Amino acid sequence: MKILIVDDNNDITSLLSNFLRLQKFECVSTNNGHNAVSLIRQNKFDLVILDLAMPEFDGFEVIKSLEDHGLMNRQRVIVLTASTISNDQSDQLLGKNITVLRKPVQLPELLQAVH
Amino acid sequence: MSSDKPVQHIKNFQGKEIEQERIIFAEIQSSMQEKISRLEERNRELENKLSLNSNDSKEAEQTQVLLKGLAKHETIKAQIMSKKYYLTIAAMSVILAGILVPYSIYVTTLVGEQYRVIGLEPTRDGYVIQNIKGDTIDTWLSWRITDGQTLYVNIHGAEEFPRQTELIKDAIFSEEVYEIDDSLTGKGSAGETSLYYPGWAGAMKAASAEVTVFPIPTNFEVVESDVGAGDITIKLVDYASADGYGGFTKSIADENQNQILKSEITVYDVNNLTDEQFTTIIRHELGHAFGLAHATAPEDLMAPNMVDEFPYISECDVDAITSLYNHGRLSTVVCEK
Repeated sequence: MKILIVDDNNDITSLLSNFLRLQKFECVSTNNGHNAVSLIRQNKFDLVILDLAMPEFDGFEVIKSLEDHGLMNRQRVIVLTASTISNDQSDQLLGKNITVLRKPVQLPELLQAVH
Repeated sequence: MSSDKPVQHIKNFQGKEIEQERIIFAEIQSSMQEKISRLEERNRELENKLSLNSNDSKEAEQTQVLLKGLAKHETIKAQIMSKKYYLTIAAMSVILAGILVPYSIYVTTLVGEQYRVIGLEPTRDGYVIQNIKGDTIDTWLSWRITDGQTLYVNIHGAEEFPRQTELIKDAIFSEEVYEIDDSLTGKGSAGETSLYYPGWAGAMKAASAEVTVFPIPTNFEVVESDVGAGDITIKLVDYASADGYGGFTKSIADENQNQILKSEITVYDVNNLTDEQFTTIIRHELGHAFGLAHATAPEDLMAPNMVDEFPYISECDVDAITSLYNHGRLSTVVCEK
């Protein structure tokens, strides 16, 4: 399974990549929402793990961009966020078949969501 | 008329007071509003900060969770590697033990055991020296060759007995040296060893380590021809000797010079000899052909009954050759060991 990790926190992208690679997943990471959209357009990912709170181009904007380009259905999306999101926002995401995990997510839960 | 003025005054005064109060109150209210706004703003700032700190804290917590997960994985991996390491060490130890134990058993099993020949039947042979006239003589003999001269060994019956021909060549040309424990050959106690030679080339080279009066033959050439006559002729026949000999050597000598002129070896009943028996007979008879008589030691190759379990040219055979070619005048092989 090929996974794209999008988070502006370098430590998290690096650690998460290492962890998932140990679980025999292929991982690519980026710290930038714009780059994430470009990568998704150019490559086929099975899963995108997306942080919502990112500067300049946050997770919501990434999701909107993917919808606009018809790329949302190509892969599963897990949103991993430390921010408080409203119930509306949470419902919207769930409606788009996006899994929402709140940081700090424990690894068994994360692996379950990934599988 | 005069009573209205004080009332009016009072009313004016009260109005102003109220106005004043109102002004002050408005001021206070404005000031309080400002304070409330500032507090609200401060509250918002703090809430934001708290939210950010909370996010940072959650991010930090997430980082910690990931680090712990990786550390746990590495610990498990290290434990597995450690187990694998110890298993590998254990397996290697078992393998090494499997190699070393038999090897040490092999080593502590006496040196040279692998050269033992089992099942050799006692074999008698005949050896006679004749002068040019055909008279049987009893003297010491040696070849008189120039240094480096080749002795030709002619094999009659090579075509009929090809395997035996190869065995003859081994018995002549081999330069191998065997180390054999003395307790195996009955020459001494365990732990002491002696050297033996499966081929005469090796033995003669050892013998010629000492400079001798007459050069010891060390170069040989084998000719496979039923009609040729070399310095030494070996005849292979498939009939048994009437005297019960396994082999017979006749050397023609110049008795005045104690010089071997020719030697003729016959090996009987070749088809009924095992390779070990055949080779033992050939080695023994070649010893005669080089000038050696029989040995005093019953376990020696040159003993009259070839029944030794280690039928190889011994150090005392080599010493006897050296002595013989050094004008030692003794062809009997005397073994001190």
